[in-house]
Amino acid sequence: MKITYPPFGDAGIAIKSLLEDLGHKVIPPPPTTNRTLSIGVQYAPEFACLPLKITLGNYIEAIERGADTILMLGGIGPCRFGYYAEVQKRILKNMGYKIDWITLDLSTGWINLFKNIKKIIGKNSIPHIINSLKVAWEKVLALDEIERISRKARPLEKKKGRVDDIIKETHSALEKAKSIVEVKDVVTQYKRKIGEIPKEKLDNLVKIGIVGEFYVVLDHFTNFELARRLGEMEVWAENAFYIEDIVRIYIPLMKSKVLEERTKIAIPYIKRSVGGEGQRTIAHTIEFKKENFDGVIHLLPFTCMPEIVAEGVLERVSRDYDIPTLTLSIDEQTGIAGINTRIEAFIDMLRSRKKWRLAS
Amino acid sequence: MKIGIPRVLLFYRFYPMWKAFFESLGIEVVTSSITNKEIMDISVKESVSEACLPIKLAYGHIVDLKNKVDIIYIPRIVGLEYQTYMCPKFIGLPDMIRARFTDIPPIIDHTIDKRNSQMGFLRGFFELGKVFTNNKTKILKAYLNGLNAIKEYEGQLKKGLLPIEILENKKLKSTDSILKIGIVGHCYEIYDEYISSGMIETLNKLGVKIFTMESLDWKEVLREANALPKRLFWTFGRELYGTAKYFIQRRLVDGIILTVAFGCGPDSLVRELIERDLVKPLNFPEITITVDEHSSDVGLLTRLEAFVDMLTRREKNENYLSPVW
Repeated sequence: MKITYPPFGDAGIAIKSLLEDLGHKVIPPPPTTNRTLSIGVQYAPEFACLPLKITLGNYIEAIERGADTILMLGGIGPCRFGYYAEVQKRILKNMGYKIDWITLDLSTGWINLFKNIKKIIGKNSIPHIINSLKVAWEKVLALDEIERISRKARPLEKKKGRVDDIIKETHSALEKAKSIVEVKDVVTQYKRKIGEIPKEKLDNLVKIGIVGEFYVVLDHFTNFELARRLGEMEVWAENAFYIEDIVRIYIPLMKSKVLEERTKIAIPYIKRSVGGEGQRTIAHTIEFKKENFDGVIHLLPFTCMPEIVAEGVLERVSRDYDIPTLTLSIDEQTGIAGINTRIEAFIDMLRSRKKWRLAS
Repeated sequence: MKIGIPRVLLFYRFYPMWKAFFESLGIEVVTSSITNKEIMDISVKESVSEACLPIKLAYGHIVDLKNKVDIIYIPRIVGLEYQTYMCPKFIGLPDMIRARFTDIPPIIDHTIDKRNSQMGFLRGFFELGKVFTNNKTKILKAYLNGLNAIKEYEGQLKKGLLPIEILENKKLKSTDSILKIGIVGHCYEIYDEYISSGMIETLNKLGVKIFTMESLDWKEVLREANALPKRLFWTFGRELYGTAKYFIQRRLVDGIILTVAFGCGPDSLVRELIERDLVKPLNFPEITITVDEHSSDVGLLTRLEAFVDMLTRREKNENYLSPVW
């Protein structure tokens, strides 16, 4: 069994670590490139949303390298993500690949879920499984910490690109880390290295919050490395959520009350959950305003249903709370120049707004 | 008091019920005009550009209603069946409309949610009735009247009448053609003349016998949909898949037309399932018509004519081949 998984953002590092710890041979999908995208687009349904196309491309590239088993999640709706695995299964089958799927999905019944979990844990002892889970979780927290710190450091660095080099080193160190202590050590060293970077002093740092659909917000390829791009334009781009929050939202046993509480401020605008991140997008936008951010960028894959509801409401929220928003809808046709032009214009607007506010 | 019901989305399924319910409570019911150019233009201008056409049209119909009524009714339909959802845009529609307009009459929304229990429907209508009266027996009576109305309506549909023949008094030519075509698509796409560019009338003029999902046995349709290894969690997705399977596997029709709105989320995947599971293995004649605000009736006519010609020729020249081939 050579297992592969759908990567998003940096989460692949933690998933790989967990599977390897449990004794599987893992074939990680190669980093997402334009080739991945064009393979995905070629075989996926025309009007499916972008994450389905990209993950399909990821699978095919992993299969080319020898993978024969795919680990995936399933859901109960109403977002399309819950049915991804079923559609992708059919596509790969019609292409002639013989692939074993391990779909962790509650809607097919507890028995099936346990069978699939059993396939993953194999013959490992329970203490070993718990330990592997703990290390993987620690890596998730570390990845989030690394990302969060980099967002703040990037706009201030004197020589552009230094932070990205450090992240690269840290990620490969993190992949090798075997225990919680080692993971913690990697993070401490990362913090030290970031602290040693020569920094500029910016008095008028523009702060932008990023909200939207989780795959597009967290996957660097899909959002055209928005955080890095904004960082180079001397903007601090903070995410509304990181990998930890997504796990806490979608994995039943990890659910946290805090996040549900945070969503409540959106109720005057969207009365009940519309699936995906729809309601949370509104809640996070209001939160960013309360934390004195200058603007919000809303990311969604083209035709994403929950985010369209959010988009329909966002204009009103923006007016009511006086916070500028920019919605970027991304699909395989989106060009980097178009994105650049729009974020540059948005930032210019925020800068002049800030200057004007300070003057008056 | 006058309540306005926009002629969009589930209008073609629930209107008789809503009408009977409100009229039993002593409220006058006004519907918006049948979609026209003006409504379409307003919709495109006011709505979220990425939404599908049926959702966009809701904006135009609200504007059409705003000066005619005291309140507007937009139900928040979450799920119509055990453990299934509607499209998220249906769930969020009242929110989207409220956020967009400030100068419209108040919107009455109530949740229709049958996901966990059959009582969800009744509970939803009680929530709705309480806005107008505190008299519980009155609400219950209105609800039962509503149920009767919809039962009668569904009975008419089962006899083969189309919703537009009942609700809009359209007259269709009767035909004794042997060519039968099944239309698989949401009610709000097929029966709204503007969305479907008059598909039903065009087919009727071409002399084809039309079958839609409204005339089928619902229980059977949903049973067909249950055959999927993973249960679909969209009410409409199950209906579409079940209908297509019902049509194809029983050879009820000679070909199917799949109507899909551009940008429809659930359909983008359900269509793929229908094509890969049902159409391709049997080489069944199928045409997909994607509708959006740019579709034209001329373009549609060309494609439908070609499809009908193809079916006629197949009927004449190919159908005598033995199935072994």
